[in-house]
Parts: sequence; structure tokens; C-alpha cells
Amino acid sequence: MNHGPNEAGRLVVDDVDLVFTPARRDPVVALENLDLEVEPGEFVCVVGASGSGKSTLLRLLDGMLTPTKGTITSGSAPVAGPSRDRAMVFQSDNLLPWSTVIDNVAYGLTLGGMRRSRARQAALRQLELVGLADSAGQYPRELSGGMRQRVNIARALAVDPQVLLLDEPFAALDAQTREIMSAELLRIWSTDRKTVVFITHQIDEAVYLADRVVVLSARPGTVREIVPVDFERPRELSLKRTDPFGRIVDHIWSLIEVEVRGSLGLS
Amino acid sequence: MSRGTKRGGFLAWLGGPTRGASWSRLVLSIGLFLVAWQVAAMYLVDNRLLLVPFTEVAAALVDEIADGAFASNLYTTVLELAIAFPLAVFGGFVIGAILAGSKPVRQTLDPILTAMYSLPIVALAPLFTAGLGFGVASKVAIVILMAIFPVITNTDAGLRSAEPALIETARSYGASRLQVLRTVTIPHSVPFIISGVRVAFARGLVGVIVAEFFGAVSGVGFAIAAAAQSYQTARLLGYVVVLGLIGLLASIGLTALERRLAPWREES
Repeated sequence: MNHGPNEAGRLVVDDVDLVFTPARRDPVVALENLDLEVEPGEFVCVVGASGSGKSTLLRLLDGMLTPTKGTITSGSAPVAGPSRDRAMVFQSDNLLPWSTVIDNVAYGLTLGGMRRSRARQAALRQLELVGLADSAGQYPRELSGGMRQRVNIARALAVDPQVLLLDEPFAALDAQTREIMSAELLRIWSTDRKTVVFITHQIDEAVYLADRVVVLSARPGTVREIVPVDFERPRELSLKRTDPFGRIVDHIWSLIEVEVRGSLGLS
Repeated sequence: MSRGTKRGGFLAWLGGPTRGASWSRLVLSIGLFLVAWQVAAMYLVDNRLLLVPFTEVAAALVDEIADGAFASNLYTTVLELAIAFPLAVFGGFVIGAILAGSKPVRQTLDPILTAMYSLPIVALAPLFTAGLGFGVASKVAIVILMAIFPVITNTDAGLRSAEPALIETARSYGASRLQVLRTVTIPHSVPFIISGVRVAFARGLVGVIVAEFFGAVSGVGFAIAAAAQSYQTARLLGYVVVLGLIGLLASIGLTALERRLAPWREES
């Protein structure tokens, strides 16, 4: 890798272990010897069976967890706790019920000390981007699940992070909404191409979105294979029904299937 | 709502969300209650020590007002509440916040607080009258003791029950501990605290009246006790009606306050 001046948005995970040591129980090795590099502006999806440490990896990247061994670098500095350079989007939208949509989107900015009026202007631009400017004054309770998740993404984008970390953001949505949302995400991402790390259970979702799909193996979690996805962008949803697409999905599924069966006690 | 206005007419409007409808419901329910009272007193209950018609109660109340006694009694009780209740709410909030913030303190004090909360504190009223005199001080003490516990309990519960996911989100956006408190924990606790204040007011009202029974020179409770001793049922019930009105006003006020402080909870 040539470490030029444009380091913002690069993520490097170098030989990382993460061991949980719960009180009065045996330690759990969640991740072991994990190496991963994500290029600036790259869209990487992470898939793997339950227990492969996908979410743990994302929390390490964000800085909410600290590796037991190894280092994580974001841009040119080591990750040492959450930072507004990296924004996190969870499966549940986690919007503040007591704040209006626009104030939710402005949340990260006001926490950073920006004046409320300026933060709201910036938030409105993000709401326009996700197509929800008309809902600015509503409370989250008044929106559908898909709309709330778009607000959540707008909130993450509003802090203008270099890296966007998404932890199964569409898992709580129905299948149709989910399809549209992933197309929407690509459209939004294409406007300024931030680095994205996207965790999902859904293999077709990963292949549709990603430049590369990282397949994790379970217990302990480590990189099983990194599958490149070279389809041209912009991608239509119809891409999902083509043969080359199906072959990549099948390949990734074959990597994971053994472990899913194992976790079910099947052989 | 359009369905309702077309078919249901007045009843649908009455069940509707408008301000006019909400006042109409209030007037209607009070009106129905007074009619029921009047009918019960005239045709069902013979015992005039137990119940007299509302019209006589109203007349007694008018006499009391003309006499000047009403104003001075009401003033005393309202003054006692106005001193004690804010102190109880503030103190309850501070203690509740301390409990929420420190597990060892909470666990240590919990048995005592639980015991005190379930204790009929009005039982201490004669003691306070003996110790603090017939004046305002003994009533203030009782009201604080009655009202403080629900505020403590609800503040503690409210501050501790914010969703961990919301706190995690705040932290992922770099929120400091203080910012988490200000933007997540405290807003979450507002409805809890307000419902604690609601219970506190009801208990405080009981406290002030019972304390005045046991020894006072003025006040609504004093007037009720005096009326009872001279078998003036109409005068007694007049003051009871006033207590009902105070409770109603407090409830309306707290609802308005909640709407202001917690607008996100309003039904759409």
C-alpha cells in the first residue's frame, strides 16, 4: 500500500485479537489474528455466521472496544475511542424520541459544539439527500421504520465522517423495503464516496453493495476469505437476478454454510 | 376524524381532539356529577348528617366566602402547600438523582426508603403538631414527608431506565458523560418525574388536610374539622368540593406542563 497524503478514510486492522473476559466465566476469544485493510472510499461488506464477531469488529473500528492484541489505524492515527471521523449506524435506528427529525440529524454536530442554527442547516441538507426534508419537524414516532433508518443514516452523514460503519442497518426492515434501502444507500454513497464498512447477514445484500466482501469464520472470528465484487457502478437492483451475481453469492454461501450448520448441530 | 364528524355528530366531536371538546367534556362530567349528587341527596339519602343537596352546599360556601373565613382558610392551606410542595419536588429530585448515580448508596438506602414510602406518614401528624406547633411549620413538614418519596422513586427509576442503545449511540457520536446526561438520560426521565410529581401532589394534599385536623388555627383541614364538630355538613362538604377543585386544577396544570416538557409523547 502506498501511504500517500490521502490517508483519510483508510482503515487498517493489523493482527488484532479481541478476548472478552466475563466475570467468573471463561474468556471468549471473539476475534483472532485479524488483518484487514479498507481503502479510502471503498465499500466493504462483512458477512459471517452468527458468532463470527462481525459486530465486535465494527465496534473495534469505531473505537468502542479496544483490541486485546494488535492495532487499528484510521487515517493516519491509531483508533483510541469513538471519534466523529467515524460514524456508526446500528440495526435499531436509535433516534432520540424527544427530538424532532431535524434535531436528531443535527445531534452529532451539536454534540461537537456547533451552534444549533448552523447544525440544523447542515442537517436539512442531509435530510434532502435522503429524501426526508418534509419530515424535518416530525418526531421519530411518527415515521415508518424505513424512514427512521434513513434519518439515522442522515444523522451519521451529517457529521461528515471519513468512515461510515453500519451494523446490519436494514435487518429490522421487511424484504421489499430492504431492497429499496440498499439501492438508496448506494445512491447516497455515490454522492461523496466515503469509506463504508457494512455488516450484514444477507449475502446478496453484501454482494450488491460491496467492492469487496469480507467473509469471517466463527469462533474465533478471523478472515476466511475476501471476495472481490467487480460489477460496474451504478448498480441496478436487477443485477441481483443475473448469473455472475448468483455465482458470487453461491461461493460466499459455501464458505459460511458449514459453520451455520455446525452452529445448528447439523452436519 | 372525518368519518366521525359525518356519522357521529356531537358525540364524535366530543371525543375529538379539539380544545373546545376537551373543556366541554370537563364541564359535562362536573355537571353530571352535580346532578347525581342533587338527586341522591333529595331522593336517596335521608341522613342529613351524611349528605345534603349540592345547592345547600353551594349556599354554605357562599356564606363562608362572604364571611371572609373561606379566603383565610384557603390562603393558609395554599401557603403551606406552596412552601412544602416545591421543596419536596426539588429534594426528591436531588435525592433520586443521587440514588440513580450511586449503586452503593441506592442499595444501602433502599430498605429505609421503601419502608418510609409505604408508611402512613399522616400517623406522625399529632407528633409534628406537638413538636412544631399549630402553625405552618408542622404542615410543611408533613407535606414534605408525604410528597417526597414518589418523586425520589420516580426520579431514580427514570434516570436509570434510559435505553442502553441510545446511550451507546450518543457515545459513538463522541458525547461526554455530561452530554449523555443532558441529551439522553434526563429527557428520558422527564415523564417519570412528572408522574412522580402527580402522585406527590395527591399525597401532599392528604398530608396538609390531615395535619390541619390535628391542630391548626386556620386552613381547609381546620375548617373541615370545625364544621364536623358542629355537625355543619353543608359547610364541611363545601370545603371538600374546594379540595376536589384544587386536585383537578393541579392535574390540569401538570398535564399542560408535561405537554410542554415532553411534547414527543403526545398522541398524534
